[in-house]
Amino acid sequence: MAKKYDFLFKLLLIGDSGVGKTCLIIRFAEDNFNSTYISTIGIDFKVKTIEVEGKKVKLQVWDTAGQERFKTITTAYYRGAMGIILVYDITDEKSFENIQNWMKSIRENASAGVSRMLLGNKCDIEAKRKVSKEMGEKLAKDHGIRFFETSAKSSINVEESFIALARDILMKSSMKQGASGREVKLTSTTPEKKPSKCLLL
Amino acid sequence: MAAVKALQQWCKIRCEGYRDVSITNMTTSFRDGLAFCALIHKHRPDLIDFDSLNKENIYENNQLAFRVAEEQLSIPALLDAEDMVALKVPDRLSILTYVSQYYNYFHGRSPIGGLAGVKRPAEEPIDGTSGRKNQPVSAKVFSSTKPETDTKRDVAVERSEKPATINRNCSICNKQVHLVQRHLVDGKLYHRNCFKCSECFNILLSGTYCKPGKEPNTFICKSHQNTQKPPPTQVTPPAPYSQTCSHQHLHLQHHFHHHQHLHLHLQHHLHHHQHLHLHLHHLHLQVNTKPKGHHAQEPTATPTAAPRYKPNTSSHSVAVTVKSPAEQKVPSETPKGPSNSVLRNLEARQSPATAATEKPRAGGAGSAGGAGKGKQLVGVDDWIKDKKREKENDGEKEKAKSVISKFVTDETSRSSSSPSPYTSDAKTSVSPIPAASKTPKTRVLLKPPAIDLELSTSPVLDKSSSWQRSGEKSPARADSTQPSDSKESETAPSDWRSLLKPVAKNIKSRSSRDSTPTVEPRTSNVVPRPWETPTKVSSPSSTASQSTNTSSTKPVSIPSRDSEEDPRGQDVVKDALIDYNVESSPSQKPSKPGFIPREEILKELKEIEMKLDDLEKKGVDLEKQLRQCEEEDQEDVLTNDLMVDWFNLIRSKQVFIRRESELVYIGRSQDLEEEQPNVEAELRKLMEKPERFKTSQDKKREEELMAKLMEIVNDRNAIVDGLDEDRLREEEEDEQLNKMMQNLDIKKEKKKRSSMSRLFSRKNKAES
Repeated sequence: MAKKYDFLFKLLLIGDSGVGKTCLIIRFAEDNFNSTYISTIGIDFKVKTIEVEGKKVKLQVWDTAGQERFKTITTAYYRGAMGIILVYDITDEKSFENIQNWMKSIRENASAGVSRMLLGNKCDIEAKRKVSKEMGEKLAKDHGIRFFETSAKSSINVEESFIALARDILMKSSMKQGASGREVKLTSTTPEKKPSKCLLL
Repeated sequence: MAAVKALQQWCKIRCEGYRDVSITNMTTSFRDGLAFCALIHKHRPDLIDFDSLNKENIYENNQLAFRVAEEQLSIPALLDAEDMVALKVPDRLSILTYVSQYYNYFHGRSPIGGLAGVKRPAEEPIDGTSGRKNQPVSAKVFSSTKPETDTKRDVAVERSEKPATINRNCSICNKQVHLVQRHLVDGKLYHRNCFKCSECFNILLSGTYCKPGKEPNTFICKSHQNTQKPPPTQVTPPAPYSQTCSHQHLHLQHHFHHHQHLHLHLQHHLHHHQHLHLHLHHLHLQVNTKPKGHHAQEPTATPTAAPRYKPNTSSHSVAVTVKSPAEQKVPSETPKGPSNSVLRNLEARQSPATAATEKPRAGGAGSAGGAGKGKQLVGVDDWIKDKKREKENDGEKEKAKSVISKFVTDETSRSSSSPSPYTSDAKTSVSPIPAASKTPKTRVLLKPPAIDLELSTSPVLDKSSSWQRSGEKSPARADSTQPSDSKESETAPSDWRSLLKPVAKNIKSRSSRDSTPTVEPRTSNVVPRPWETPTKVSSPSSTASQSTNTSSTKPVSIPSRDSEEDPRGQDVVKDALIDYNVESSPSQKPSKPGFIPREEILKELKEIEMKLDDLEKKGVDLEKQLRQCEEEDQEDVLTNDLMVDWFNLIRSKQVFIRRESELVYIGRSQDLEEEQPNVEAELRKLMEKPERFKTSQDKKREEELMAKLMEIVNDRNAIVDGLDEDRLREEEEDEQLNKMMQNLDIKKEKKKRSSMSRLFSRKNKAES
């Protein structure tokens, strides 16, 4: 039942406040959408099991508060993530510019080999677009990461992007597999510091 | 005996090079406990400081190994350190079985037992590190304060009354417990299926029982924990405790985690209480281990109890100090001195056992409690509705709030400010006889309507409790022990009778609530207070003193302040509920894929239960056969096959138990998910308040809520991780099983085979 999966991957969403991180997660995990804005407090996560390359992958998707005041809390969770999703709002230039800062935050707080992905959310609101798709693509290319324009509201590219990232991680982990032996922790560590066991599987 | 030989050989190799450890058999070689310690140390040197051990300390060595194995490795303590002392030649089959668990564990297999589920969650690392760190200290403490001879003597004394065999009897049904049925809880032995909830008579799974029940020797399962939240009596943190707690906390973490999922709303606050009453439960057990009715013996028992935990870690040694006085006092029933409250709790729990009337009373209380709960809940609903209506009608919410709450607090304060009449009334009317008969009632009465829980975590109560405290300072103090719950935790423990106060009050308020809904708010204010105060105590007392000041200088202002606070707490509850219903809150459970309805979880647990029973029946037979073979010195082949069957049976049992603990995980996780939105809603509300309007209470509360929210999330995460750990372990199982079979050098005999494969097929079914 709950254990019926082959891998557990931990993903983390970051980005400015209000870009739609929580909505993306709710769309992904529950296929739901709520247009009222509720700022995330601190941190939360949802779990969904998907199938990637014939493997059942349980994704634990961490939602972070975009607000500065929660920064110390949220950054503590970077380390445990195997994949980090940077989100901006295509109708908000500032959120796009800030991606650089979020990138910096990843460099400072996340584990070295973490997979990243860039999402330009709210692509359903074409009329208010401030950030062109090309700009997003370029930014992603500069960092050598995946890019999608998504809409949690219209359910565009949400699942696709998550699956793509999961696939990246899966590939990475299967490459790594030979090198490092599997490690079963007998005692658990703090959640945020927990090394990605599954990755080593 | 290839199977046994293989195991013995494994032990021998692993213990090579360890001082004073030489494995030449599977009995006496293990008696001094060093072999167990060596086995653990070999694989986890961080857990045991082997060099500090002395082979003379039989009890301590064994106890250390069993405890570390249980707490750190989730290997349930099949053996009892006392037995190791008492028996010159330990029971071979028991040793074999126990060691096979080490073998299983260190070979990448899961240890037997769902205790894994109990201990894993979030804060465990703290447990590990601090426990280890403090270990040497406590060891020292032990040797200096309690000469080991004491221990031994006491153990011997106790032993002598029981058959000197490791197959002791179940603490509940008093019948023999076979190895496969062993369920050791805090040093007491049970049949796994005798370990039942005293409310619903369901078997308590590891991870689901929370606390001692009303009577000694009883426990209550989580579903009843939900309705029967920790009664203030148990929760009340005596001053000496609040210090002990923080240490104890670390140690009892795994127990404490049982509790977590049970308290939907109070989680954070209960922290202290939880381990507190766990602690009590420890004490309690200690007391109960001794023959009932022989009060005189209990003090004697104390030394035994103390050393038992000593060698472990500081936290235990701390506990000991509290423990012994408490136990000693129990019989005397004249609690005085620092551990009064401990004692009180002990008595509270004990008394039912001693009082002849207690049984019926408890039963009646139980049902009454159930009914009461229902009523309360209904009442609360109504109340919420009322409140809602009011809210709708009244544009100025705040105003309405303050009005209501003023009323509420006035009521509250009135009732609590004139505590002595109230309480004494209640006391006399209920029964002039103190604790014994009353305690059960307290518990029942305080069965937690959800709202109470909510409220208790709200700032209001901080307020009221501090207010109470200020009240204590007034002349009323001497006899108005009523607010004592708060007081005693801060000041010296007061008369143990003070415990009863909340009861009395509740009796009153409850009855009044039943008739008049309007009074309800008051009740709900009153009820939770006892919980609130403890929290207070353990937290920095800045607010306490502050509010005390306020209250003493401007008595009038307090109610008004309260009135501001009170409704907030209530409002939040209401809001949370509204949120939950109206908005599609993010973690709304039902919509969540993969959600397993509670009934289904329960159903599967039931099935597992049946399978376990089945296995145990087989296990009992097997054990008998094995012992017979041993006695008759039968030829290897048969015995070996039996042994293989035996090990496999133990393992199958472990598979079920693991699934059990997984289900418990899932249930807990779902409960946490349910709780989260409520906490979040309250927090959100506080955060929305402009900074400049925030009182220090608000800020403190905000911090608390934040911490609580993080804790919920972290706990949920720990469950995800825990499940994953289990999964990883299980992955190896088939492979490992095959290996083991080879190691055991199975010599065929198809007959046995078939029985075995039957076991496995069942196991597979369970897993799929």
